[in-house]
Amino acid sequence: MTDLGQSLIEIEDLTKVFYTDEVETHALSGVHLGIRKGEYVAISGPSGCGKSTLLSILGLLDTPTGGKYLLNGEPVESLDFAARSRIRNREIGFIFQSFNLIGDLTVYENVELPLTYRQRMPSAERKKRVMESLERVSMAHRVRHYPSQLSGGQQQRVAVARALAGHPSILLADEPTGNLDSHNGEAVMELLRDLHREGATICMVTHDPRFVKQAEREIHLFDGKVVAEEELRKLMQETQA
Amino acid sequence: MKGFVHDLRYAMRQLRRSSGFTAIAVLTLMSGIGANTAIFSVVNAVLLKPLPYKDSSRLVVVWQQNPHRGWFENEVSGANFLDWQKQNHVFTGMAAFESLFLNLTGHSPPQEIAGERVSANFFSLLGIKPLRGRLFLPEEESQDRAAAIVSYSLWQQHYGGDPALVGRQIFLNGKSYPLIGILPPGISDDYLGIEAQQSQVWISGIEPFAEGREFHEYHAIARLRPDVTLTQAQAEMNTMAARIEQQYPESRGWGVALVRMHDQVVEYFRPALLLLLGAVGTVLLIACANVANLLLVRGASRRKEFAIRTAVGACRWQIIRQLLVESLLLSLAGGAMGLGFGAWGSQILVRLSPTAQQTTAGAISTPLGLNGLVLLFTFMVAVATAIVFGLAPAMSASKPHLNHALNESGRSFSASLQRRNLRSALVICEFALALSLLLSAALMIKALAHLHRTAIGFNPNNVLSVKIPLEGSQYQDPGRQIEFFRQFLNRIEALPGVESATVSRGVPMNGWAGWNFVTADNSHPAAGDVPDANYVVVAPHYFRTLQVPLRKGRIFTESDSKAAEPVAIVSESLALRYWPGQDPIGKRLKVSSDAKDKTQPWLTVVGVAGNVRTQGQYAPFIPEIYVPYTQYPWVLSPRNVLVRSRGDPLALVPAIQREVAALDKDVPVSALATMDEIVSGPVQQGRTIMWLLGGFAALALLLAAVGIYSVISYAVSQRTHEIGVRIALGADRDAITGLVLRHGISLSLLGVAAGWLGALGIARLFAALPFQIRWLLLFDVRPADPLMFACVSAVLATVAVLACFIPARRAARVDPIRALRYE
Repeated sequence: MTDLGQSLIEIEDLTKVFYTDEVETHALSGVHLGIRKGEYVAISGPSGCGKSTLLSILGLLDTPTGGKYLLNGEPVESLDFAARSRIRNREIGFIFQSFNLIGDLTVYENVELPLTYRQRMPSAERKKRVMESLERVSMAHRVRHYPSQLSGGQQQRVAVARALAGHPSILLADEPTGNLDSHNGEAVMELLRDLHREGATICMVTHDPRFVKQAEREIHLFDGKVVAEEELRKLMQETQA
Repeated sequence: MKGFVHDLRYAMRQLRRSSGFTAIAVLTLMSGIGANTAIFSVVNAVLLKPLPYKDSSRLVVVWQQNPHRGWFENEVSGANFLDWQKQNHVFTGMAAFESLFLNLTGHSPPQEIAGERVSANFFSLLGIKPLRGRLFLPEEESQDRAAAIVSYSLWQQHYGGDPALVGRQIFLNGKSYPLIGILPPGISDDYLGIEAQQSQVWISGIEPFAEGREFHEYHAIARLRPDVTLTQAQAEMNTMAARIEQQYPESRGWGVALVRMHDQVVEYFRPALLLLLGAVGTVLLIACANVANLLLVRGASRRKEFAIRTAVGACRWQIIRQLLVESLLLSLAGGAMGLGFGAWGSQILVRLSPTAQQTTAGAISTPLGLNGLVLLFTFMVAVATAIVFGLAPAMSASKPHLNHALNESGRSFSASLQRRNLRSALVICEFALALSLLLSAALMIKALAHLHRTAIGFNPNNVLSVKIPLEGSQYQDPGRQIEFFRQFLNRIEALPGVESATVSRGVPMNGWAGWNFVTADNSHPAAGDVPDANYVVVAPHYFRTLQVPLRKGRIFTESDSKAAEPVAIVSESLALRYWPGQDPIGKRLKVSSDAKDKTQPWLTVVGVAGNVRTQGQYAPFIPEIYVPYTQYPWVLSPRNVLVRSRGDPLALVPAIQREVAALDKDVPVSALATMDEIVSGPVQQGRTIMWLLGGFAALALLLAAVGIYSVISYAVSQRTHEIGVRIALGADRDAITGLVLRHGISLSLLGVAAGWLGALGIARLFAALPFQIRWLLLFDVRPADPLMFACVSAVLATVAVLACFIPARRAARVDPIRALRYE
């Protein structure tokens, strides 16, 4: 999928502040982070530490308040909505905790969806990619089914296929097993491991220690900052105390 | 009952709590129900109320008809009337009458009033009893014993309700009549239908003459015997007509047509009123669809409430009943407000249409407004409306998926699918109905545009028309009339601001006086094929005043006197029809059906004038014969003076009144009108219908726009999460805007497609109308006009795009992070 070792994402001194009435909430405070192509990174931390905010910024769903964000060497932190949409469509594949399949669309149409937002992609090419992606997650036999006719595990596999269909530079997974039982959760993680082995770059947010260990690298967040594992443990103990 | 009261209390509380929803629903229903109430109050007054005569369903109007010549409702000949009266076995009685204008003098300033000369049995046939005095006696049928009866309003207004009036003499056209009776209030001349003129006085002495069956001068009415149907009566009259036709060659081609009096009175208004009733019914359906949509949305947000009710034991019917009670309350509130709106609307309607005003205020004799039947109609409409808009949402809401509804924290794709489809179907119906209505309005607008572009043959701008009747013994001598008008026209033309003035028998667009004639080239046409033309008696400046072009020859001059050779000017259409390819100047014609008629001279054609549309814009050009009033002063009645001014013609009225009074203080000036008003008269009904249909179509369009806006808005709110997913997958703002617009446009296009089917049905309906009525409504416009279909569809699609644009923009601005968390 990508050349291993090249830098894909570089983040410097990234901050995100939310303003509600008179309250300022610092969701991220000076985050430095780099992800290389082909890397499998897990972001973990307690609830409210800024994991999802970081993932949203990485996925260009949100813009940082400050700092730099280079994607494939290009600064993307201050792009307008249309440019972010275009890059998101081509470079980023999302896998959500709640699958986020569209109920009115069939499995095929759901997987095809990101490709429909690309100009000038021939329908034959689109079809080929959709079927390849579905075959990759072993869901090609369910193309005409609607999400409501699938189990949770199957829905998440379709969501993975949708993320793969656009041939993105990176897969961003937000608690991909959060809505699954252990069996289905394990199957999805196995799928992600396989994808990584095939060269996919994956950045996963999870709080499940079993799955964190499957990643090549762990990034620990606490109060909007990246901390070392020992420091996180210490801070957690202090907080609990 | 207890359950119903409980539902009622709960419904009131619910509606009070959702004041915004309640207000929108009630206002929507008010517009629909109010429009129906307004139109129904007119329909009730015009179409449904019986005529104010005894057993009026047995009254018929008797016409002569000549289908071969395209005449279907023609006055009857006196001789024929007398034969029918003697020979028929189907009527308990027949009466004849003729309309006329009379100069009322002797009590206060001279006044021209509408009146009728009637058979002695006229009022007894109608079943009218006098308020004071008596009705005519058979011996008063002769002219030398003629008597008069006045209307209640003339008695009140002209004579101040003088209790001793009966028994006195009144002076009409300079002749004295004993006043024998006063009619009760509310009696008017309905039987004349569209020609009702609010007669104020009736005189006896009609004496239908037994000679000259070619002269059709009388109106006739009859009362069917109780054991005889209209068909049977028609059959006998046909037999009699056939016999007369055989006996008298001049009656060749003439038949008899019986029309129920009520049908006669309403025939002009019925198609227009039914069209409007259909239009407001359509508006109401659209309003219902809108409110149903609102209820569906509301039902979706109350799913949990219904699930809880079901969980604690409510059956489906109880939930439906509760929701229907809410619908009924909404509808009754809308109906109550609609009543006020309708009462106000019906008054506007009358003001918009002088013809309707005249009819409803006079002939139909039922005032517009709220009465028992209108109240009942509105109540029934409100109840029916509640069921129409409330039932589907109630059925939908009464079937909750308990597990989903009780446990869900938000969205449920499959559960809402059915409701969404229903909402979409409602919007499609709204657009289909709106298209049908818009198309009808557009066809009427096009028809009126065509009418306005129709060449009428003269220039009506800056022309004043007044009637100056010269009646009485002092004007018995035609020379006095000529002298009066010669002096009068000289005085008027000398006034500052006057370009020219003329006198004429009648004015263009205001009917015609058809007379038979023969030409010297064809002096013995076959009986029944004698040509006829509009016979116009004019002063020399007639053509200049009306700016009717002279195509050939000369206009009349003062030298065309009684002593000079009798002359005529003919219209182009007459010249073309009877002297094709020949020079009409010098040709001779006689205004009689018999070339040997010694009472009528041969007229020499001295000029050819342009065609004038004498019978209004709807009618074709008909042949005209103009003769100088100096040669035919005794035919000059009614006497219309036409004055062309340089500025506002109405500014000349005081001067004209002064000049008339200076010549003869007893001569009244009446029927003041500009020619522009007279020209617009025939299209008045069309214009009124166009405005009303246009208004209802605009209301329908607004409701359809609101309908699609609310559906798309709600869909956007329901699809916020989906929109977030799409943005996460790379959809930009244009793609999201396009997604929402496509949804709205596809609904509207489906509606337009369905509307086309409805519109084709309407086109067929129009096409199936009798020609005269279709011509009156649509003139020469084809009901299935593809261009109109395309234009109206484009308007609807544009409105749909505009209505969807706001929710589409809102969708495009959805924050994906919030949307993905949206529950």
